Amino acid sequence: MKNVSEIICIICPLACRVSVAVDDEGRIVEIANFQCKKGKEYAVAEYRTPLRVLTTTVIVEKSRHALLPVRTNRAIPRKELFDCMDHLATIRVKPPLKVGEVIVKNILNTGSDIITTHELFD
Amino acid sequence: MTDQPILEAEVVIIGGGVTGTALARELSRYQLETVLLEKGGELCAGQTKGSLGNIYTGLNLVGSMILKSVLLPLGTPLTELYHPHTLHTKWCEEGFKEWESVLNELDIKHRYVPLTIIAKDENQIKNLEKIRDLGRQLGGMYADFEQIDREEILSREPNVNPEVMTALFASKHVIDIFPPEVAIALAENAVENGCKVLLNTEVVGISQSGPHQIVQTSRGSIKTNFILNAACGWGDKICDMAGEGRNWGLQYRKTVMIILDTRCKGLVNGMVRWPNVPGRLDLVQRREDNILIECGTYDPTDRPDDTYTIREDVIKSMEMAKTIVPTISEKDIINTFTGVRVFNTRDVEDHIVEFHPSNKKFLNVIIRLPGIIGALPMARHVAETLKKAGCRLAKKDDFRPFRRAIPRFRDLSDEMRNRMIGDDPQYGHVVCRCETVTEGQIVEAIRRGGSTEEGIRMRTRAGMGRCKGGFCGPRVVKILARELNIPVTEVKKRSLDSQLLLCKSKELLLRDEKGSA
Amino acid sequence: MNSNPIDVLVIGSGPAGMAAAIQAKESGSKRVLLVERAEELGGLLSQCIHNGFGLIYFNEDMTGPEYGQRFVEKVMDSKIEVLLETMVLRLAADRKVTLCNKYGIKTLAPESIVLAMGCRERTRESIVIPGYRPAGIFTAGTAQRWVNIEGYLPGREIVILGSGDVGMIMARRLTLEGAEVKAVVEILPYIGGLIRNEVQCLYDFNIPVLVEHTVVNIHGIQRVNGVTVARVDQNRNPVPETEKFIECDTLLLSVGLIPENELSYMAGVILNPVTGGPMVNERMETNVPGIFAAGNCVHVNDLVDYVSVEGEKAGQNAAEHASGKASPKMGIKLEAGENVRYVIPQTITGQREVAIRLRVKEPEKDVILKVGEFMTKRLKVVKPSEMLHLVLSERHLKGIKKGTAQLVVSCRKED
Repeated sequence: MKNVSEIICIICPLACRVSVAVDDEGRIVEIANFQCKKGKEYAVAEYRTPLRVLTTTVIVEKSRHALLPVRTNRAIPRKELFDCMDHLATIRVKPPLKVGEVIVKNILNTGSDIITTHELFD
Repeated sequence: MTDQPILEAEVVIIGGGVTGTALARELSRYQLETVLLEKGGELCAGQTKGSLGNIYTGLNLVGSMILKSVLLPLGTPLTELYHPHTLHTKWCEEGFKEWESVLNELDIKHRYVPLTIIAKDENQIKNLEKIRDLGRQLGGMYADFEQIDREEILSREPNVNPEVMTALFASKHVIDIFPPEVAIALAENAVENGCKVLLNTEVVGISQSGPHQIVQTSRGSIKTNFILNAACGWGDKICDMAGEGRNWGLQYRKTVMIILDTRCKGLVNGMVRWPNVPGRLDLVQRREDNILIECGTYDPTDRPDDTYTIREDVIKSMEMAKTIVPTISEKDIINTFTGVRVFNTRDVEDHIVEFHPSNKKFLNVIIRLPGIIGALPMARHVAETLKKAGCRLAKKDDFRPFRRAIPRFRDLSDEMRNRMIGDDPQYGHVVCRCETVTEGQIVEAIRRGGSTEEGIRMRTRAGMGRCKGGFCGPRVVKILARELNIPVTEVKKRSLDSQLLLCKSKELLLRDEKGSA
Repeated sequence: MNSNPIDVLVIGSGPAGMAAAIQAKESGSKRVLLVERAEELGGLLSQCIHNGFGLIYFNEDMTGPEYGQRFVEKVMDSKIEVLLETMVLRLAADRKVTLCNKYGIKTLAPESIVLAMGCRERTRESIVIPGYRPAGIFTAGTAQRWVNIEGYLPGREIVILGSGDVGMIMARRLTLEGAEVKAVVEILPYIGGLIRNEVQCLYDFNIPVLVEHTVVNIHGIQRVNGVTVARVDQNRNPVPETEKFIECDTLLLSVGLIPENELSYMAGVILNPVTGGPMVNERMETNVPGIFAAGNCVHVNDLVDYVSVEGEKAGQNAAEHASGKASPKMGIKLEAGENVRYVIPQTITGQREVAIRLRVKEPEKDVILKVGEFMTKRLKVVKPSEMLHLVLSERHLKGIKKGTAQLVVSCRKED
């Protein structure tokens, strides 16, 4: 029994719709409709574990700014995005902070830190 | 409800449009406790906001008189169309003359703009000639115009349809103003002279309490002697609260208006229109630095707040506008809005200013359009009427007729601007780029009673430009929150149920957490 | 108080303006003044907290603020003078600039100017969506400012009109913040932005996408309480039988960006009616000598990296102009030909290597991009939402027939 998923490749404007077929044990048995090696590799990786960079904000205290923008410093599994958002909703930061400072280490065990993307002087 | 009244007054005015505010200012000349109630979050919440709003005389009035000529038997002299005994005509004639000085007293921005009524086909020329002939027969201001030919038309209004054959031209018949500015200026002056203005205060009932009346509102009750019903489109509802016996109804007609970018301001120098035709108005005019288009039919609607803009109406309106100025283009539209015009059903031609049949202290002041021109004599007439009904009108010695507008930074010289900034640096912080409005102006508008996004817009023009608040919007809202000391989520667009920002960041995420815990 | 004349005055401190100011300094200008109307440098970069910036310019995948930070640091290090919360009130054809801030009004006479004012957003009013005027209608960029800088959500149940990148980015952002995006509505038969955003902003979150649809009605008098959408026919007219009500409290509009050129207009700069921005030559100079322009105020770009490249070019040439270097003559006009909406720059010298940017009108597969008859480039796919780039090298230019005054840039399907 084959299950076929369609992965849209985002590497170039062709946006190939790569089809990835897996058997009952979850092993990939066929990959079709791609135009280049990069696309094939992307589709497999995306099928197995879609990874995303999370960019969001955290609430700032003791500052004239309301929010500080932050990001994961590496891509994390897509399924962790909402849990990370919930966790970050409880975080508070205050000045001073430089760009790139870690405000949460290894968030939810994803292996990625949450780092600042904007300076916070005051 | 039997709670204590929150206020006591001699006169309560219901309605904060140009009628109510004109009444407020007039009554503030006297030693009278006067309160004006407005149900919206800002003045001019109803018909005044959507009005065309010019102050005019002469040809435009003759044009409306001519409309009735279709009902006259053949051979009737045109002068039969002139009804000088109606309140409407009397007050328009009297009112126009005194507006110039009052506009200056109240520091309201205004400008005479030329009026050109054009005609290009036989029918239009016939109508034009009727207007011309009646105007000349009436004499005075009505005759103060000239008839000009195509060459002359195009030299004065070069962008007009080159097929025009003839036109009537008057240079002093139209004063261009911004209607909300007039009403707000009247109200500010009334408040300066002791009148109270309550916004977000809807009248829900009227009852008697001994010799007094009780006006029940959404914010408590007010004990008063007299009540003036200036609620325009809601006038019938309010009238019925005071008792039975109303012998008039209201009919509403809606019309769409379009504003073009200031880049188009050179398209016309004043008002250019086709001659009046029953049921429609077709004009393109310079409205301050924008172009205002009202080309359309007066479509019946059953609600006074039916300001719903219909796309087809805008399309038709633009097509008609192009017959006046062919180079007009949709890509220059920066705003469209719909206004509702109110007429009473008993006497469509006139106003109704009468006491309620079952309540001798409740005066209906039901004004039809145009409401601004005759507002000043109307207010005096109402004061006289109150006096005859036993209201004690003793003039104040210290009535202050002058009102200073919020400084119009945009219109000032650099030298003046520098002086203002020197006194108050907030005048150096330009918040609205499109209309050059500064933080100083916005703070002043809030101090004078503006507490909503729309209120700030009407009082300072911030947000009226082409980007429609794209840049200044968040800044204006934050200034409102700061000055009024309220959370940003409490800042309204206009009424109490027009919240702008629904929640704070993270609120929805934290709520879910709590919910599922 | 420095009384030396200003060499280069840059209006706007976004990715174009900062790059222009930095490059002007590097090209030798003694006094460079950077004027910004907001409270901090960076323009819209501070509110674009998502990543995808810098892939070309820095070879890194950065967020808007991080990308901006690199430039801000350089601005600070380069002794560029900065005026914040300062509005340019007037720009004259003789390059006099009138500034306004809390210290007062001042008119300056810089040697050259770089216009870098960016864009504004198309509004609900100008596209005439029927309805009342309730609270709850926002353009996507203004909503972005509220969510990412001020800390407020416009609403809880959102419909987004327009599938450009800004709209899609906001769809994701609002969803992550806990709001429900009920639909992204697009009038064309295809999504307007990058495929990467389609996947990572819409499909990742199962946000319903309605192509070939538009919003025909906004419900609610004081606050939005829903919209009616309808399918459109080939003429982009709504089909009434397909109308569907979607309950929501917020409508976000991502229906177009308009280059901001009120100052350009004041100074007599000639604007290109197709782009809405100034006509520029290969030096990013407008028809007014000494007034240069770069970035989104010239044409709406797709990647910020190219905005900065353009900024550099404008800054360098503005510096050269300020130092008195003569402007070379522009010998050749570039015309937009088949399936090309516009080309930047519009005039070139024809003597020096020049980078051209262009956008196509319609999406197409297997095309030949041509400049005149002497340069061709085959492309597998072209889309209006993705800018195309060509470099006319000196070798190419040598191939142009002498006396050619005009070159047509076209993008035809290969037969």
